[in-house]
Amino acid sequence: MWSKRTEDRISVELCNKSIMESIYIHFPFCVKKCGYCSFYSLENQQDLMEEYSFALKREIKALSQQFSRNTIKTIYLGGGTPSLISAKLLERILLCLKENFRLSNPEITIEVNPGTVDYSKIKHFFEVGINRVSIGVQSFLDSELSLLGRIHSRNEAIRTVTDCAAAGFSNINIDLIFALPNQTKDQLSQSLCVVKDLPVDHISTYNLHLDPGTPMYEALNHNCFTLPDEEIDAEFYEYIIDTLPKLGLQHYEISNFARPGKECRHNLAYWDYYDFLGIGAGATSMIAGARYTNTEDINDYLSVSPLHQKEEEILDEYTQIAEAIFMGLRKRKGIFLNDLSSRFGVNIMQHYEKVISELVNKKLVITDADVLCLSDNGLLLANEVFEAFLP
Amino acid sequence: MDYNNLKIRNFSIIAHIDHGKSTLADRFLEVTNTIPQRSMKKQVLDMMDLEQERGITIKLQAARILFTAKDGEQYVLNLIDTPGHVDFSYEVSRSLAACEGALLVVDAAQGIEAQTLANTYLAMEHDLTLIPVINKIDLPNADPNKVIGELVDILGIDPEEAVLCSAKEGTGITDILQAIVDRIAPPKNLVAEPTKALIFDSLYDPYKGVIIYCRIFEGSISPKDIIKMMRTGYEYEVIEVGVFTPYMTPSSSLKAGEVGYIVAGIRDVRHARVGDTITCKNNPANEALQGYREAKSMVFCGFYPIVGEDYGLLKDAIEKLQLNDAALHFEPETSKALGFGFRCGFLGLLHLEIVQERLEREFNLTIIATAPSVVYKVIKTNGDIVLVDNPINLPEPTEIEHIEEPYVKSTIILPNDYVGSVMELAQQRRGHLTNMEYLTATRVVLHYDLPLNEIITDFYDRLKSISRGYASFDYEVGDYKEADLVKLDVMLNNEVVDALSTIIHESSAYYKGRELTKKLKEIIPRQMFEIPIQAAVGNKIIARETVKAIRKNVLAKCYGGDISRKRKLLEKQKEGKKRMKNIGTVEVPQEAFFAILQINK
Repeated sequence: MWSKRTEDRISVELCNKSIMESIYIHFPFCVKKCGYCSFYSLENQQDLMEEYSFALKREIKALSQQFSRNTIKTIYLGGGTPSLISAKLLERILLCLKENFRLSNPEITIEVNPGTVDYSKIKHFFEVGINRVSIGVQSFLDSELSLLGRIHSRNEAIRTVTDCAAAGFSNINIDLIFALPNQTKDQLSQSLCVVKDLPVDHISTYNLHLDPGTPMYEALNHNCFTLPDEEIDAEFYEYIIDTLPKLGLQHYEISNFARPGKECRHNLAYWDYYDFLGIGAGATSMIAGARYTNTEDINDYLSVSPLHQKEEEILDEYTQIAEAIFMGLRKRKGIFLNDLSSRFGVNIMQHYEKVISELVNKKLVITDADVLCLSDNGLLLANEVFEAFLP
Repeated sequence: MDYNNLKIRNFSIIAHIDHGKSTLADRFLEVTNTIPQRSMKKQVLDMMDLEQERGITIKLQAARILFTAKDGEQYVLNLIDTPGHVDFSYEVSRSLAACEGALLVVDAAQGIEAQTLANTYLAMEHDLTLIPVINKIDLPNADPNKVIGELVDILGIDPEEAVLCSAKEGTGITDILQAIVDRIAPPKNLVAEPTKALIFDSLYDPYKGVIIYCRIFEGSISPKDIIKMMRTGYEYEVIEVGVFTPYMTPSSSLKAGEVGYIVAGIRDVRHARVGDTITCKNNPANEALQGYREAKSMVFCGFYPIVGEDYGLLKDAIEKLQLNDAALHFEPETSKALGFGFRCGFLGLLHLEIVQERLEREFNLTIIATAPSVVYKVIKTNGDIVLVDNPINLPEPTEIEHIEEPYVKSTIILPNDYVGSVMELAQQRRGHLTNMEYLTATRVVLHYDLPLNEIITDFYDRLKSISRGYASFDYEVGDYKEADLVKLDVMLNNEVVDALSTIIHESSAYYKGRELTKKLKEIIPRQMFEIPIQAAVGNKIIARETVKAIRKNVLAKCYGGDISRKRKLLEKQKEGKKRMKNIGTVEVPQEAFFAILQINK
């Protein structure tokens, strides 16, 4: 619950050490839920979009009371399927942000799903100020797309990418999923091959993970298919790590690749463990060592004043430090221990001396002066490393 | 209520497990308003949480029931509860010794089962009056006449004596209470004699100290009396005496024939041993009552803390449990793999599991229990005889002349349809059929001599499953017999893990070695390096499996909104490892040490 106490705590803490330059806005609407998705989203409720965007603006205004002095450098519109929003409503939301916060040449990303946008809509997005798109391609094979329950085809995916470039976007991400049921290395290679000829600046790639309750998880349990085992999963991941840099996409985070200078600034703020505001149903904010999460239920979100329904999770110091370390270690270049030490006022090197030396012995991490980063081997076993820093 | 020995009846209920003993006891308390209906919790006498969960009675409990009989007089009926599981037959005999009669409860659909027989024989040994009670007559497949027929044929019971009831529906309950008054003899009036009271149980209470459960046979005991334990010689001044309503309720005295409790500021439960006779110092009895044989540990295993530092906590916890569990024995032992722990002795596997669960639940300890073992008699080449209850202590093969293992005399009752498959099971477990008789045209009693080692694992479960639940089983301790036994060692990462060694019959060594390594492969999670698992007899490797090194363990996407969720996953991963024991560099889950029990034939 957002209380007077919370506000007092935030105002004191913010003056000290918090860096807050990012805003995330969530859109829990989809045309159709994908078979592997366990996130909260509503199918075919886009008619609520207008009412929802009013609620978003209400929350933006409420939060700006506390954070109007912060300079916002990244904005991310995620979902769900935010590309279902009309350019007009989107423009009003961005305008509202501009009126209530200090924006400084922000990176503004929207997630776009092929099959929900045409060229003119993309063009509109560009015109209202969006400067980065993240396209939920997932695969360039029709057989894989239908297995995943996506609404688009290979050609629609390619079309969306080229439309974005034609509309003026020069910062384009695509999401790809690998280790799909019965996927062969050849199939994976085909999807990566398509990338070669497309104007793609950034790739986020994940192995398929099925949570209980999703249709694909149920199908898996009924032996409708099998997932690739750990060896194949690892092999595919290594293949991707090996292939994408050859296409000019550098591996800069466990799951992310980018052309130099096209790293996602918004996501880097998460991995650098900076604060951020989350706006919209189910969205989480990180503010001065605490997390505040909005109700996921859209009707509750629409009806109640947003500040008074946030769930609060206050993190103790060493939990924050552990999170900062494992988020930071996701970046290939790792973390600067001295920076973290001064941020938290704790000698991190000393506190984790034993942990770090054990990890070095196991060849999972590399240290160089005050830099700590995952080794190639540690990249595949990152959870074993992350776990070691938990209090 | 004034003392009148003629108005007292002391009785137990004996029954096969699941024949409805606890429900019947609940009905007695309810019908007589001993416990008002609204505060009735199902199976009031099973007070331990574990007992209620597992639906079994572990500790003895007692209750005093006031019943107004047909003659209009009020009677005191003391019910002394008995456990229904074969592991606890020792405790059954304890409660029977405190009574003049017993209800023999038989399920109207199931008929006589192995424990019905065993318990009946026990009751007959104690010269108790038996009242046959046919329970569950409400069941659609109940056949009381057939069951009465069995009782007549097998136990020679007069069919007129059987009382029909349904504890579940509450019918026939007062008939049973009336039968108790009519047929069970009242205790003799021996109040004037020197005091003799039999301790049939005790309980350690942190405030009152040891609470003695006893039956007064002669004389009386009141507060301020100086009592003397006839066997151990300890003397104490009585602080409080009382009866079980079933909650402990103080009274002015306990007199001959009564059942109740005594509090005398006793801090050490060993000063008031179950089976001892209490007398009064100022007018002592000459001779003690016949006590009990000491509870003998049949099954042993090691208990070790997951973290070495918890050794002290584990010791305290076992000591505390022992206060209320005379059958639990323990002594310190050391394992190369597991460090410092305790070798514990139990009545049987269920007893072992219950103790383990209580340690984890009531004392919040995470412990490793090693594979259960029986006590082997090793005759060495130099003529020495050593008793070995831990495979680690088995002498070198060259020093062994031969090994003997304990057998049990078992009784299996089952429908004749299953005789073939049950015999096959018994054969696999190296059983010798000593006798076979027909109870009725379709029900058979098999008498087998079986190695105890073969039944402490999953024999009972297998028996139940191949007979679709129809076979029942009971046993008593038999003799030692020579056998070809070997020690099966397990190596993890090329190191012998002593805590995983077991003594098994030579004929099953290959099979068990293979199955055990397979099972361990399933149980031991993939780690940073490859782990070979080998089974060996002597220097000979007889089976090998490999746990492959972990290849990939990494959370893909992790952005702002997921951090807490991902952290919790990592915490769970870490927590899981804390429940594992580090043996060398290998992290081994608790259940690995019990894996040998999960091997099915």
